[in-house]
Amino acid sequence: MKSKKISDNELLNLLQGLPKEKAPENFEFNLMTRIQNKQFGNLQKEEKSIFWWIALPSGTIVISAFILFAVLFNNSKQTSNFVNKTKTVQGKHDVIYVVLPEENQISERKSISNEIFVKITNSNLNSSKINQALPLISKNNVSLDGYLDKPIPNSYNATLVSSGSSTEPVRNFVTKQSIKVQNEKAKKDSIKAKKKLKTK
Amino acid sequence: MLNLDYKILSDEVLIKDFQENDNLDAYQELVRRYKDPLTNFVYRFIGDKELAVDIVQDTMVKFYLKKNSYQTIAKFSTWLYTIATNLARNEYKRKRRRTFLSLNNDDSEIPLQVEDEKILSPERETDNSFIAEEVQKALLRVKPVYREMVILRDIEGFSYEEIAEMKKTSLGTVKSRINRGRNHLKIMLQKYYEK
Repeated sequence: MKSKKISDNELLNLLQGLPKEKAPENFEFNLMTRIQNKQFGNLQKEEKSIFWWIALPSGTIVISAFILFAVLFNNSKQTSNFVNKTKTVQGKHDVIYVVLPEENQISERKSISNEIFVKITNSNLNSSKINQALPLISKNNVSLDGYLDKPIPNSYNATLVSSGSSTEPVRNFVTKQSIKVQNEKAKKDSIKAKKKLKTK
Repeated sequence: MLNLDYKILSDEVLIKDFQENDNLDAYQELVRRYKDPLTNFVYRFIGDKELAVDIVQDTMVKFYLKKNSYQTIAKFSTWLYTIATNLARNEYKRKRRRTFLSLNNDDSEIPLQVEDEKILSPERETDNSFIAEEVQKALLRVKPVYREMVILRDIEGFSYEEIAEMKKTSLGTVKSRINRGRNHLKIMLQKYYEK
């Protein structure tokens, strides 16, 4: 059997010799009926973008990166405040003591957002500014009321001072005063005893 | 009834009339002109007459709905065939998924199922409809990406440039795909020429 390859022209003749398929007679009628009745099916809907499956994960990554950034940024801010606080304020772990000498007077108080700034004027010093950030972060908050209810071991009296621009006293800070109660009581008792002796 | 003047107007004038004046007569004239060539094209690509008619209906509905997406810089036939090609390709993919012909999307590797030569009567071998049937079978075994271009070029008679515009590809790609498609067809139809 002799093998003969099909030439381009022969192939073209074969393809062009294919019978022409025609649309059915009622094609136009059906089409116009469909249009009149607005039976468009899914064709009326907007086609989905080919790139939606690319946009979705990238969008998710951007949003999660933004959330991560926001969380990290917030944490670093808290850390810096915490470091600042430990440098400027010396005290116990859960209560902040601000010792105010008698000759000092608080001349100005400001409250900006969550930070409290207290300006103290000292008689010896011209002006000293304590710009310590005392954050009101729920995480670092302690129950001062609970703490104050406990008996103070060294028998120091405590006086509450107000803070911020509020006129109402806020029980946030405690000043320490070293009053020797027992000595004072002994003095009073001795005076009373002396008076009694005199009157007798 | 259609106005007789519509029959002598060009496609581009008719589509402009339909776009600007919502003239259904102009639309109907365009439908009348393209329903048969489109049906033939989609049938050759899909191989199913009923499905081909449905796809052409959808093409015409889409043409009706998206008439304003046509711009006068392009040829109307190119634009309409682009719609039909996209719909046909989508339907073909759906059909393939349903019938599960192949998983690797390489039709050229599927051997052509040819009837035994010995059992064919001489009358049938020379029968035009039989040859047409075999050519159609061979066409359906060519990769869709080559097949659509061979049909557009060799059956529908579009130029390489028009096909490149339709498929949004370069002229070189079109020529190369058509050449590959033709070569696949030649290999599959060789059996009928070995005489």
